[in-house]
This record gives sequence, structure tokens and C-alpha cells, in this order.
Amino acid sequence: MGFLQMLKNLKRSDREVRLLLLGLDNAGKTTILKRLANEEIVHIRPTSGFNIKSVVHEGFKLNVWDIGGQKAIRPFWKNYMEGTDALVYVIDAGDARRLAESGGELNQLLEEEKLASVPLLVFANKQDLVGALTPKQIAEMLNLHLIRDRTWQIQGCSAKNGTGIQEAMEWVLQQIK
Amino acid sequence: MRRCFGRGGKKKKSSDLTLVLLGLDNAGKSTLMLSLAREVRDVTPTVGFTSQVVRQGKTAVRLYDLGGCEGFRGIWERYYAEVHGALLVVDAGDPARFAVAKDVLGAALADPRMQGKPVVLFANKQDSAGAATAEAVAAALGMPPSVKVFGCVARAADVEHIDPKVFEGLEHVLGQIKRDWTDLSQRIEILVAKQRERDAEERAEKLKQLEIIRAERAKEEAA
Ligand SMILES: Nc1nc2c(ncn2[C@@H]2O[C@H](COP(=O)(O)OP(=O)(O)OP(=O)(O)O)[C@@H](O)[C@H]2O)c(=O)[nH]1
Ligand SMILES: Nc1nc2c(ncn2[C@@H]2O[C@H](COP(=O)(O)OP(=O)(O)OP(=O)(O)O)[C@@H](O)[C@H]2O)c(=O)[nH]1
Ligand SMILES: [Mg+2]
Ligand SMILES: [Mg+2]
Repeated sequence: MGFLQMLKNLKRSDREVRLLLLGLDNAGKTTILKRLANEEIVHIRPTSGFNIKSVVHEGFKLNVWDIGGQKAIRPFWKNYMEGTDALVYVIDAGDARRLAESGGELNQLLEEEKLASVPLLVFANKQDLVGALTPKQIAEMLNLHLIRDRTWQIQGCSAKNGTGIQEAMEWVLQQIK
Repeated sequence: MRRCFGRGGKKKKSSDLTLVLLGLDNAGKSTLMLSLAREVRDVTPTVGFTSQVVRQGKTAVRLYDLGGCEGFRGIWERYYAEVHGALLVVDAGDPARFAVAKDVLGAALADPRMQGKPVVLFANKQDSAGAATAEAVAAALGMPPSVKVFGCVARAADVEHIDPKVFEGLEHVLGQIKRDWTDLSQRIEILVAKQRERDAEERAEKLKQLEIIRAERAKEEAA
């Protein structure tokens, strides 16, 4: 099912959905955003502020917010949390070195009142890289099984070649009521 | 027991007890959970965790729905300690996988944290061509006689036409839980305390591992 088709199937009344893309710098958030918007994946630079893309179809509007992940700008993540329908957390599965840091940031997000009970999708991105950690390994290392207060799902993907993104977005839209 | 049953939750999300849905991928667990919540919609495969509170009579039941695909079953045991029982789901139209389902569900029931907790079996997808009967599914899975089996169709056309069997199955397991309530809740308290200890130890261990990985990679990069 195409992305636009999924949007059409949304059952909510206000017809506007807000997704928040977060994760460490270099995780692949902006690349994923471009995939969602069907844009060419070239000239992607580290994000110093935020990018927003809206997909509109038959009266439905999906707003995807992609916020820069560099350490210095992480304190600003808070400014974008209000009204979030689903949190999409992106992890560079090829970079085991930074998994502790990434997990630490995720844990803090899960404590945020503004994100309380918001469904969580974790993208284990860069599955095209040899030696990339599997979604299962990441779920275990990050202790996702300790979460009880929200729905979560983990999905392996490669923003580079586009695999895994559509099915995960389908899941996200199903969680939104 | 009165304290725990028969009173509506004050908060929206509070519940009296917790059940976990277990079964292979594609068995129909997520669909069954939605039907119990009187919701009808499409679902995608679960690779994670979803929870809903459903009301059955005066009891608020929290349901845990976990992914059933092969790589994900290892996570099930993380939820065993705190649950009061389980809803086992099998695709009755897929006899080729009964043997795998037997192994997987058998292992779940044999876990010390699940032993003696009430369970029911749903022989789902009775509408599919050549579906095995409830009795045949129970036999193929080698279920002990204490486990009652309900043939059902978890997927409904609309909310007005949800198979009453799904509620019967839930009602049955709740009856068993109520009967064993005192023992069960005492046992769960102990199991949960142990699990918390284990979680804390593991968390510390994982942080250590992640730190080792970080240091190793940093050394490799410097070399
Ligand atoms: N091999 C591979 N590289 C990827 C993939 N996704 C993104 N990248 C690369 O990873 C780098 C970072 O991608 P971005 O999309 O800019 O990452 P970001 O999360 O937006 O980073 P910040 O804006 O700094 O927070 C770029 O060089 C991308 O080309 C992937 O799936 N596979
Ligand atoms: N014919 C028929 N199909 C059903 C029934 N119940 C569920 N299904 C379908 O079976 C498929 C799998 O259902 P799910 O509820 O996703 O199964 P699951 O056990 O949650 O699977 P995982 O999340 O992968 O573990 C879906 O396409 C459902 O629509 C039923 O009673 N009859
Ligand atoms: Mg970016
Ligand atoms: Mg499921």
C-alpha cells in the first residue's frame, strides 16, 4: 500500500498528524524524511535546526518534523514535542560505538511528560552496512522490553536504499487514533 | 479479592490484572486483542509491544500483545513474571505450523514464571479453508487437559459482529484467575520483585558492555 493510500485510511477527525523524528546526529533522520517525501537523496548535510515536510492527500495532512541531533542542539528537542502523535527514533545500526549514547537520549525522551504514552517507532537504520546490528540486538541492548506505558515497534531499515520504511510508516499510522 | 475485582479503575488506564497474548507470527494475536477491545481494523505484523485495557464485566483487564515472529519470541519471557495468565493463539488453518507452535507455546508454559498460571487456547481462523477443529488443534499442540480450547474467528467484519467465542475464552480464564486469586497475586508479587532485581542487574551489565564496545571501537579508529 502506498503512503498516500495509508493516509487516506486514517480515521481521525482533525485530519492532521504530527510525527517527530529524533535521534543522534548522523543517524539518518533527514535521509528518512527525504525518502518519505519522495525526494532525491543527495546533498544531505547535518541539520543545524529542523526540517519539516508535509504530505497532503484527500484532506489529510501528515507533518513530519526532523530535528538536528548534534549534541549542542539536543536541548532544543523539547521545543518540538507538543502535540506529537508518534515519536520516530532513529538509530545508526552501523555505529555500535554510540549505542549507549543513543539509548541514553531515548530514555530521557521516554520520561518527557509531553511525550507520555505517545507510540514509539525505533528505526534501526543503515541495515545495508556490513556488521550492522539487527533490530533484535538493538531492542535488547536498549532494554525496550522494560517499556510498559506505550506501544512500541522496532524496524530495520535502510534510508539509503529505501527498505523497511514504508511498512514501518504503515504501523505508525495504525497507532494513531 | 474485592479490593482487586469488581471496581472500576479510577484512572483511565488502571487495570485489575494482566494477561499476555502468545502465539506464532500471523496467528491473529493483534486482531484478537482488538476484537476484545471491540475495535475492528487492519493490523501489520508486530515487532514490539502493544497494550490495551479491555473491560470484561466488572473487570478491567490489561492485555499485552507481543510480536510472534521467530527473531522476537526471545523477548516474551520478559513479561512472564507480572502476568496473571495467558491467551494462547494458534492459526487453525495452518496445520503445517502446529509442530512449531507446540514447541514454542510448550516452552512458554514450562517457564517457571508461567507454571500454574491460568491459560486458554484460541484455535483461531475457524473461517479459513480446512481449518482444524478446536479439539484437533488442542491435541496437535499436546495441551494439558486443564487448558480449555475455544475455536474462534478473531477477525470481524464490523464491531457488531465480533465472534462471541473470543469473549467466552476471556471470561473462562478470568474465572480461573478469580478462583486462584489469593495464591496467584502473592506469587506474582514475589516474581515481580525478583524480576526487578534481575532487570537492574542486567541494565548495569549492558551499560558496561556498551562502554566496552565504545572503547574498543575508539581504539580501532585511532589505530
Ligand atoms: N549506508 C547508509 N548510510 C546512510 C543511511 N541513511 C543515512 N545515511 C548516511 O548517514 C549520514 C547522515 O545522514 P543524515 O540523514 O544527515 O543524518 P541525520 O540524522 O539527519 O543527522 P543530523 O542532521 O546531524 O542530526 C549521511 O551521510 C547519509 O548519507 C543508510 O541507510 N545507509
Ligand atoms: N481468515 C482469518 N484471518 C484472520 C483471523 N484473525 C486474524 N486474521 C488475519 O491474520 C493475519 C495476522 O493477524 P495478526 O493479528 O497480525 O497476527 P499476530 O499473531 O498479531 O502476528 P504477529 O504480530 O506477527 O505476531 C492478518 O492478516 C489478520 O487479518 C481470522 O479469524 N480469520
Ligand atoms: Mg538531519
Ligand atoms: Mg501482532
